[in-house]
Amino acid sequence: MKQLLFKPFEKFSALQLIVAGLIFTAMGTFFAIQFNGRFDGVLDFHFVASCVKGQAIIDNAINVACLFIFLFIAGKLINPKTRVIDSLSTAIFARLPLYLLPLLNFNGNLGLNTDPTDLSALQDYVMNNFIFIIITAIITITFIVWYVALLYNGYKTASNAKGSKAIWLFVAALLLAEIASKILIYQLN
Amino acid sequence: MQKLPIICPSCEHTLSVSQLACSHCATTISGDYLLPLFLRLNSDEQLFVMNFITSGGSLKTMASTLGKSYPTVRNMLDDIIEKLKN
Repeated sequence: MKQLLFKPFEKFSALQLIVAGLIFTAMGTFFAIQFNGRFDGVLDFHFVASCVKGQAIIDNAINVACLFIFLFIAGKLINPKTRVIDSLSTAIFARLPLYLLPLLNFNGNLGLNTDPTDLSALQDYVMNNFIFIIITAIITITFIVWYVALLYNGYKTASNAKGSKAIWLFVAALLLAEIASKILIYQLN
Repeated sequence: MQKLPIICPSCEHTLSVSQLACSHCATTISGDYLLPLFLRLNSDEQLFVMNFITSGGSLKTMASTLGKSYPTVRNMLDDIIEKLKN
């Protein structure tokens, strides 16, 4: 079970992971549209007033592309034998935990129902939904940790990465992917 | 059958062969012989090398036989190559 959740890259072929990842991406895109969320960055997910179909698709395409490019470069620097298909399967499949986050807005309670500049209304909202907000925060942090663990394990399997250099390159790749995706999403979308 | 120890439990250096015996006529040979390269691998690594040979050197065949992904099997092979080089 642990291997299935955290290290599927050690068991399943790249093609199986890509097919599953594409299904998850389609599911995540659908959830983002249904529950008004935007994946506006490799490490980002925010609820918005409304999310249109085109935005959700382009957001996810940019995020996967940025992750793939930077993880592949980091993998190649560690091990020249790193294959394109393994980095691609990591970038596509590892985003599964993020794609489940829009479901947190199942009751429409996490949208922009409250004007963020109205502090008293915001305070009332927080007080009235305190437990729900705490639970949401715990679930979100858990899923982001799961997401980063999947990304790291995929990168490690693809490039046989070991040691501190591999970890620093992974962190750099993730941060660069985040910056690139943010810029591209706001420029193109 | 008992596992062949290859690492010294005291100082963790690779062991060498000091005695060989013939079970048929009880002749013993004493000396100081290095372990062959293949025997310096642990039993899991030896099994991996045997699987690699019996699958005709195909990592794809090995991956499907072992139920592991291709990069995992390739990484295992790379680690063994690295170990043998050192």
